[in-house]
Amino acid sequence: MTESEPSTPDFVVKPDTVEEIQAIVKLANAERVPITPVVANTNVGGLAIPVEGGIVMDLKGMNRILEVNATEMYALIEPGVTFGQMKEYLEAKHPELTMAYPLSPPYASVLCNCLLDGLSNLSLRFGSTSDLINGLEVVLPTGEVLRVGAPALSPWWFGRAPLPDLAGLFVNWQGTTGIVTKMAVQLWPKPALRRRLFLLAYDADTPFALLRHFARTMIFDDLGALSWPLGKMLFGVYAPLQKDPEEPLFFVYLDLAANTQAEMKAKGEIIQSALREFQRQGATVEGPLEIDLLLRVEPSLKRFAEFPMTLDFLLDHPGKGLTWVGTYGPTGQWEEGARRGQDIMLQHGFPPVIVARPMKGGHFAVLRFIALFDKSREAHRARRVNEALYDMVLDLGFIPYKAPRWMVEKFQPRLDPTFRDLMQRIKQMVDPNRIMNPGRWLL
Amino acid sequence: MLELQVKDRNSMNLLGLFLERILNRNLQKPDKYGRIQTLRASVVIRSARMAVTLHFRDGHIVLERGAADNPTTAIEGDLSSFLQLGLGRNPLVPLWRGRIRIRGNRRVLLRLIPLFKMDTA
Repeated sequence: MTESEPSTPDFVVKPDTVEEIQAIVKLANAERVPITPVVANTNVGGLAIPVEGGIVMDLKGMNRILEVNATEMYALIEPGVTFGQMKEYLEAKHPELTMAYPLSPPYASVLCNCLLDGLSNLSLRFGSTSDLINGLEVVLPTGEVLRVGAPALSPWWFGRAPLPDLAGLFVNWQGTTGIVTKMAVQLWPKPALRRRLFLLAYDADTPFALLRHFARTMIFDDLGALSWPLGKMLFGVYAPLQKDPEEPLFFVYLDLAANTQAEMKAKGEIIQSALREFQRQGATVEGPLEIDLLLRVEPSLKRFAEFPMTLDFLLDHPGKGLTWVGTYGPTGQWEEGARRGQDIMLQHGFPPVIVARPMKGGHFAVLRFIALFDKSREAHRARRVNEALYDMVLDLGFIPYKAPRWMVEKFQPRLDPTFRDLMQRIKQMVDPNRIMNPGRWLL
Repeated sequence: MLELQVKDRNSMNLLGLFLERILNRNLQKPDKYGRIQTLRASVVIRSARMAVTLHFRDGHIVLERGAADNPTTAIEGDLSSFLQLGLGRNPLVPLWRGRIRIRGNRRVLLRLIPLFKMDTA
């Protein structure tokens, strides 16, 4: 689906155990053969593509849920464990617990999502998914097995404090520093009640002001704003370029959880009161609309209301191509980023698909632009719009997550030089023969 | 089965796309469309600032973006109230409360109600 250039590996290996991984890594290290670890092979930025050939290490088969510790609220899992698998397992064995689920298909790997700092339906409360990692077991490029976080010292994988946080050697490094073979991911109590609401916003500033305001109330699990083309794509319009001047510019969704009806009611009152105040000040916003009501009238939309979810209208369309520029950045730059992004996308002939979400209580923002394209003939156009969007978001202080190589090339000159040098020194120390996913981060 | 045609679907608004989904489902059921096979009318629906017009002609339905001039009937209301109607709630309540407003021929709307109604278990 990605616009990234394809590349073919020389070997594909499918290890079942940590010992097998160690043996493969030691051999590759001795022979200086690159290794690209993969699970679902679906990263939109092409991170699972073996840029320099060599070995693709397919970890799908290592898919055991090794332990669910209900007391400490974590699950110890292997790389191939998927979100769908975890959901099924928790619902069957630990219905009192839940986890953070991404806006990704059920076959996405939990471990990869966390290592690449993805988003989840609890991101407003807990931040990006790397914040949910309690500990890691890693096969280093030289073949040793390392444990970071609490398991470096304790039999329980309860967290990353208070030892030096060496998980940072593997989080967001895109597989360039080792192969993570186990991860403890945080679980959370499953609330008794859930509610999802939608608001309709008719101007470009209201949705962001609402998100900022609501994030600070600390009553939501998740919040987000989706621009108008996404609504139409949900109904099968592949490339909606023309907006009805009267229809909403953004849909704002509000996810709530509560343990009692009284708690939910109180949260509802906070929302209503905030909306009245926004409307009194002239904001053009309508709602809230209960998503449950919508789903009862049109049950076919139900699959877009549950996590994890397959957004088939993004994945299964005539052109087959999907790409995006996804960034984390300052919430204060949302409006400008969305405004400029919309113009850029329209100039390049793409519907302005924009997703905005506050993270970790509103401490930072997600701003993401999504483009569908015809993979057989429009990859260059997709690349051009991404580059233009990317220059714009960088100027506004946003940073791309899961950055593909071309993005890293672009932001490298802006990167703090000592930060860049330290990354290179760490890479050299951990992976002296440069076998782990070479080319990522330009390492 | 009646046939639904969506005029210029790529620029149809979200209200129209949602109605299209409901109509396509219900037009497969004779008990839903039986009363409108011979209907000749234009019906404007407005909600959440969007408007669409349904033209009924000789067993065909054309769904068009915007409000046609001089419709047979026009209905306007908030989305929640329309969704409640779709679930079979009594239309009189939102009418009394002013959450739904109707202009023109109300009997046409009575014939259309089954077409928009969801079968609930």
